[in-house]
Amino acid sequence: MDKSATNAAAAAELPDTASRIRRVFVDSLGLNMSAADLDYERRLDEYAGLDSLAVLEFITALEKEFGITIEPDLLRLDFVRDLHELAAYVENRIAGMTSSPPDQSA
Amino acid sequence: MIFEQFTQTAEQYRNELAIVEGDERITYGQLLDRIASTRGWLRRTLNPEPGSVIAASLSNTRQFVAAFFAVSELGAVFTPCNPQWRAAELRWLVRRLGISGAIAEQQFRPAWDRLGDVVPPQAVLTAPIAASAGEPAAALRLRAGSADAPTLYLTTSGSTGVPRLVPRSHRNLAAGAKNLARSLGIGPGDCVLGAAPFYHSNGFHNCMLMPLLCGATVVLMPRFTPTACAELLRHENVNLLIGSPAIYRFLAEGSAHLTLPSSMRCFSAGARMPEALSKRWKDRFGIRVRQWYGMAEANTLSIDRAPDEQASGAGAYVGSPIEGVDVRVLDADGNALDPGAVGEIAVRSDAVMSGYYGEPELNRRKFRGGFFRTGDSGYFDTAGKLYLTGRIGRVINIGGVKVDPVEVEQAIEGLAGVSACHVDAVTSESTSEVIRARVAVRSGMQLARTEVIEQCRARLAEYKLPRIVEFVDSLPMTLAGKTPAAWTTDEPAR
Repeated sequence: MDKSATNAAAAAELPDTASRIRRVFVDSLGLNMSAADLDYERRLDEYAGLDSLAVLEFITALEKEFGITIEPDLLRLDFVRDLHELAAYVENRIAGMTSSPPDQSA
Repeated sequence: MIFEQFTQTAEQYRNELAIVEGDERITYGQLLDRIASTRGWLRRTLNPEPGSVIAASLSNTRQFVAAFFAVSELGAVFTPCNPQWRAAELRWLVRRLGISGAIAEQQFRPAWDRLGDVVPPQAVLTAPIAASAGEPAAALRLRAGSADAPTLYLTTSGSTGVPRLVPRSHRNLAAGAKNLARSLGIGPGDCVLGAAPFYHSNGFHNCMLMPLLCGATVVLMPRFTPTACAELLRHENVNLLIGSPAIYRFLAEGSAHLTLPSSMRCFSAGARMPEALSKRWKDRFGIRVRQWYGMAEANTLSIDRAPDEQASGAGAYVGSPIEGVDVRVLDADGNALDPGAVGEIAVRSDAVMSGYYGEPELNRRKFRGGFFRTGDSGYFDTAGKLYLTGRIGRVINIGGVKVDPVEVEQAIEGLAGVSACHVDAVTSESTSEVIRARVAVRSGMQLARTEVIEQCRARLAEYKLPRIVEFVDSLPMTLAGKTPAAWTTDEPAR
């Protein structure tokens, strides 16, 4: 099966980036709340403690969800807590990844 | 004295590699020089009296190592702080210990700068120091002092709402390192990747001090990231990895290209390694991660040492007691129990602290017949292997970091609208153990998750914040009032 075609079809059905990030945030940290209840206009750390380990858990889950790698310099609370900035970054990364040759190891 | 012992090692292995930190490679001789310059800096600035307390907010850096040995050599007591602590938590420490000064990395200074009323700004030094700021190593003079005097205070969580301070004497530290190095056969030529933070017992005792006292090399990782960790494992000749289950999980999930030599020994300390993760790690790298059992109060109790040992009993298998450490399982009256019988694990060795700082009442209960009662329950099998079955007290262990539930409860109960709160740990599907707060809300009042988080954040370090926040009308009777009988074995009623 053509993998890229499948991915493209799947992407068309997926919710927008920020919404997916919300779900990853709630799932990766094991929060007992619905992703839908997470207000776009609030900072993510208003909903949970984000110590360094939590940031790492969240980032690792984001990398897996979006098939991207996130620069180690960004493993910081002030980077991950703004949903809008995070979504913009993730979209940039996805664009960057698709314009360069695919990673054979992925 | 611990510095004297380090100096002997450092003189003997002067040209051997002591520390690798990024591109920096520091021999034992160079480390001695660095300690001397740090000591000179301390004398010109804080000039601590013997017995005074110096706090430190430092990452796992060579500056941490140098600062500890310099403070210790000056006869003062080094007190590493979790850099995530907020001003309120530091203020408690300062008041409790009456500290003379602090050494903080620039990034961790803001919390200290909010303590101007109890710690004058000039008493907070910013690390690192300039390399040239010192005096030559020859100027180091060894001091006479009691081997039983504390040279380090570690903080650990109890279950009374405030941390406990664990004094570690020169004798404690030396004995802990010696017992461990002998049991694992570690010495010059070995290379330890210390992925655990040095402000905690495991990182300090096992990842930093033990290797440096026996001439091995310590590879530092100031901040853990899976990629950086994999890089170090690939490029440095690491043959001993000591980490928490979380670190093993990150490495097993990511690092697609990482392979490990079969000679690598991997130990999980601080918390129980989930079985599924052990299996995944073994499948992925061909190496078994072995369990390590220890605590700030006693350093290492037992380690699973045989390469292909199979544990068969119920509970968490933690190997057999290491050399020089006497571990017993006691009943409530302090009698040793037969194999198979579950009781409280107690330990006696030169590495066991003399008692918590300033807690005579607690110490009377925690020590019996020279044995320290750990608060962990478990049993020995007939082959002398130790298994843990749970905690007698209420302390929560989140990936190796202990959290006092009462401290979190007190924070949440300070919120208007809360009538009672109960905090414990639950295992969620996606992560390991997480903190759960069940919050009873006064009738007619409404609370939001964000209000609870905000309330906690203003008072507590980030890692103490609950992940699960449940709002309930009332707590079950057994949870209300704080002292259900089953939990009071270890703790006084409050």
